[in-house]
Amino acid sequence: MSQLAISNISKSFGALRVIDQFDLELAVGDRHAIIGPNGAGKTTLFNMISGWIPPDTGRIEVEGLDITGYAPQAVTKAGLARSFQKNTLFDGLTVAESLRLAVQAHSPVRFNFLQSARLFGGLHQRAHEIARQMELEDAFEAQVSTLSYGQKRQLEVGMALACSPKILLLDEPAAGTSPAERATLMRLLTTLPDTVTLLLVEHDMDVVFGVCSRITVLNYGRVVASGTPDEVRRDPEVRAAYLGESAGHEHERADT
Amino acid sequence: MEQTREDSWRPDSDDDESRHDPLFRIAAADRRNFLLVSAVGLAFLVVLPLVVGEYYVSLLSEILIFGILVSGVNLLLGYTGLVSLGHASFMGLGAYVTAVLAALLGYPVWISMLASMVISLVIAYAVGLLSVRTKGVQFLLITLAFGQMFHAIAEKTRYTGGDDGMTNIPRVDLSFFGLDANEDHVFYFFVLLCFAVSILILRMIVDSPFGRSLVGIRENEKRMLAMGYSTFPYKALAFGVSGMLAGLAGCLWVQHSFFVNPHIMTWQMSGEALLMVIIGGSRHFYGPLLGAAFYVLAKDFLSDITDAYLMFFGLLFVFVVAFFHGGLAGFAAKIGERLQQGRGRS
Repeated sequence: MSQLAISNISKSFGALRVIDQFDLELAVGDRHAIIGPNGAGKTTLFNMISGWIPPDTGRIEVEGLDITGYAPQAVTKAGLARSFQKNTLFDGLTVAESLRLAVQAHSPVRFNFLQSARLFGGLHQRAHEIARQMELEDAFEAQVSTLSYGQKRQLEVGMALACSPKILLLDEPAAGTSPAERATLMRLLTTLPDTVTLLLVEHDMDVVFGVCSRITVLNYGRVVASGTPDEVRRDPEVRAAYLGESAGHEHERADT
Repeated sequence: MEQTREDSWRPDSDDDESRHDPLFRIAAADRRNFLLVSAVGLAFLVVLPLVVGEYYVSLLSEILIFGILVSGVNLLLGYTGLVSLGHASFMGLGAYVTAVLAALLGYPVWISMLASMVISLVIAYAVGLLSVRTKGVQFLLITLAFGQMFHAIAEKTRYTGGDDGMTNIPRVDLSFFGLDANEDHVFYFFVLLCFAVSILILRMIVDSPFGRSLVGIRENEKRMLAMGYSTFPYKALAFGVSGMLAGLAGCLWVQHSFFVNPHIMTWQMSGEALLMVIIGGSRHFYGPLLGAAFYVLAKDFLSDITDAYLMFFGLLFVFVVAFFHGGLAGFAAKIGERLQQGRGRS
């Protein structure tokens, strides 16, 4: 049984068909990227999978459980956690508190309203473990608003991972990062445990080709190509729609 | 990993390794500071009425009653990030339930008090469930509408004296302990007891996993949803608890003043509660209490010298907000830091 099965989902905003009959099946431990030019419908697709926008048609299943139309919190409870393209963090809290809240969300502790949260060492240890995994150990007690942009992106991934998801959806984790920060992120993503299935939307091709074993290319809400990085790279339609342009740019830059 | 999750719902025993963790040392220092401030404050509140006159004891009771109200309001405003303009109606609800049960139906006052707390908890929770689906200005307006509705009911109900309200409301019967609550000192200590218990419970709530989740909702509700929290029941429960504390404040208030009328349920009263929280500092646990003390004392002092005391109070409010970042409590915390730094240097 596949871990995540998306069949035939579509979404229109008015007359605009943003996602047209999208299908995807992921098995446990898969590393899958969805790429495509701006406006291809990647974020809409993510919002549908994670429950923020209901699809017009189609069906989304996590381990055989139909989660179509579930609210975001119910989708996360079903084992699918996401990060955001735009940092969506607790600016006033510390890294430790943020991660503890994420861990606590999936523990019966969250209903406890009379004992100090600090007494629950299990939460704290798990939060610390995630921080170490995300290379945020040194910033563990720092307030989130004081972190560097790259660290915030790492925390963004860490908070999704702290939900102990079966499927992790990352929405452009490398967006806006410097080359050094991107290298750190890539290192983090390649060392994720293979019990976690990864679905990634990303513009940065180094990250996509470095992390993922399969790629789906979207353009105008339609799947243009799907396959291994090499297959996708060779696909003429993809080269025209997407990679061709970016390869061309690189070429120009090399010339000057 | 599974092991950790299994264990995480059980508090650690004292001999746990993690006690030596730096975080636990910070937590312990935090707790020490809190206990120190609480102990000093409590000693102050116990000794003060023994040295000041009868009139000031009555003012102190007033401060503590408002202190219960605004600490509850701050569970919503400071911790959950929700601004309610309807909390005076829960104070009024507590006041009227006590008045009706004790003065009209002849139940013992302590039973009336318990009843008023339970009823204000249940009704505030219900109002909360209906209101927390909205945000920001909409939330403010819907709580205002509920508040005005309760106010109108109190004003129109003949049974409770309509706009005139009710008088001759008895105070709690403490003869079992050989005490008479009609004495202002005795009543003050009864209020102090209610206050201390409320504050203790509130502190436990804000420090608990549930309380941390409220802070998460204040910081970023979208992220809380994405992490799997169903935030509506959390917010509704916070609303209920803060309504219950407002109800307790109300039932102490009627005993303090021996009468009740719909005036304590007006939206202006809700607004004044918000002012107290902001003047005191919503990000500090004891901030609202400082705000309540400042409010009651300034009102008392100013109304002695001028009829237009609200104007001066407004100016003071502007002054505090403009110059004391984080309210009075923020100012006090800053002075505390300076003192500690100074001590560190010498």
